[in-house]
Amino acid sequence: MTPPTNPMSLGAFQEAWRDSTAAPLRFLGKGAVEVPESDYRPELMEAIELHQGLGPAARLGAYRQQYWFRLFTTLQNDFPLAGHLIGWEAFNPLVDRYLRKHPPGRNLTTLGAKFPSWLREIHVDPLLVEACRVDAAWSRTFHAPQRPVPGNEHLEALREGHLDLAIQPCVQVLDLRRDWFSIRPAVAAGEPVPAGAPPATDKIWVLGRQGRILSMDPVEPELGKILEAMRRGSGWMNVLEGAVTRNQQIASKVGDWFALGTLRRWWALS
Amino acid sequence: MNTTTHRTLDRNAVGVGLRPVHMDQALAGPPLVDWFEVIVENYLGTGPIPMTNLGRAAALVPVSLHGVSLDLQGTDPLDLDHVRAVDALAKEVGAVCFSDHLCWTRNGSWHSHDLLPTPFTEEIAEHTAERARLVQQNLSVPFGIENLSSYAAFRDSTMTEWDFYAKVAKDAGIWTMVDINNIYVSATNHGFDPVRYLESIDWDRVLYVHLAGHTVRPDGLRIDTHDAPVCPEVWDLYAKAWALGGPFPTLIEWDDQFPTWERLVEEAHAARSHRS
Repeated sequence: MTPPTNPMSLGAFQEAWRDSTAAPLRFLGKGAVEVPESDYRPELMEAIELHQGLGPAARLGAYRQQYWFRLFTTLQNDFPLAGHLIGWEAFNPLVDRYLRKHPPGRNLTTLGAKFPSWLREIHVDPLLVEACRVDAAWSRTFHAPQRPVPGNEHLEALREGHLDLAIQPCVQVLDLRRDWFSIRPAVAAGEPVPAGAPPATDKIWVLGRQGRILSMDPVEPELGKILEAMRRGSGWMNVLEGAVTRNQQIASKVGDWFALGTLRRWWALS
Repeated sequence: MNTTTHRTLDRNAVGVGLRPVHMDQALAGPPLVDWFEVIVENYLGTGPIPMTNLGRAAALVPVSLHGVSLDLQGTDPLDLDHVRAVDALAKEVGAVCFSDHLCWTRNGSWHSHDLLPTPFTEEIAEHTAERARLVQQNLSVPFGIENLSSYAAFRDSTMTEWDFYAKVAKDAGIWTMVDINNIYVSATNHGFDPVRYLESIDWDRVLYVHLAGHTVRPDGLRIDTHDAPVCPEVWDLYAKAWALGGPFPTLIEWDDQFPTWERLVEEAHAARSHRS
């Protein structure tokens, strides 16, 4: 092989590659995408060898296609309810706009973390925002770490007030207008589900995880507020004291709520 | 280089890349393959569900860790926190080794989520070997580098891919993990002789071998998709590799268009019929 007369430095080569591969695709409607050669940096095009009639644009295009395909399919897999609601043809241009604002980091499991709040910022249909909130919560619950669970040996300290309860990071509280949980497992599995949004509901839901199984429970609004306060870092006893002071009628429900949280493994040692 | 620790896998072993889609079946009964390889990024900083599964897998058979984001050929500082996290995981599950690719994966804040090639030059080989040596210094298990499948070759290259690969491994004092499907894909895409590549390999340095399926685009470009059975041409190349450097552990990767667990196991055991 003949040494090149003016090779690019490795850093310059990788910058040119990054700029060429990460150039956004252009959506033409009806699922069509335009990939013009002018998106590729000329010095990179010149650096690539021609072989078997395949030029630099086709070869770089293979990488560019894979890059975008991976990002789009990651978000499609993470937001099945959104795809069900509006269809992938309408979903993909939204993903394109989102990725321009929030490029991927190292971990693709968090690629869609800001998608629901971004959708709210751009004022899309609130139903779509809600569907995406459910999908994002599902993903967070699945990937959340597990904190130590209180056991029988902690009961005495809890009763005496020497120990307080925290909430497991997997527990999410969702105030929903539609019954998304009734269709999400089937939608995610690709099973047939009637088109459009699920039936109306007006409930506070708690999404949790017991071992490998995700649990979904409708809860009373007061309990939802308590759990949300615990998600922000407050302890069970501390939040409960304030809640009972404001509304003494809930005092009789506290035992049932504690039992439900124990059954669903919502609690963690603080 | 430690010459004993890498022999913890039987040299005739057959294994599979264990993916979440097959996890329940793989962990349900007696082991049907000799070892599992797992993608390390799926188990770093994750919740207890994947970690519990990995622990159960490691209790069944040996486990090797395989990475896709080391950025060995990158120009940003090497992420030693990532390497240390891999090492901690390797210790936790008693992994036999760790491997990642001879490629770059990020530039500044941009992450490619793909395995990207570079030109093959002495200067880049030295840069890569230096980083690979640093990785091994921060690992308590053998570190192997995998050859890439690529869709672009570069006018700036002054070496063949196989000379480049050998130089990096030798200069860094590390192991190799040879992907025979990748050799075939790159050979076809760039017009070199894959057997010449196999003949250049120092087989004493090989931790194990990867096999997988790939896709041929309408324009003839072969893409390393891991979504199909191993093709006959790659099995032929595997047989030649076995004749040149066998025995070596052999692993099937399958990452899309997943087959049943039974079919995947069958593909792994098919390797035995291509050894002579």
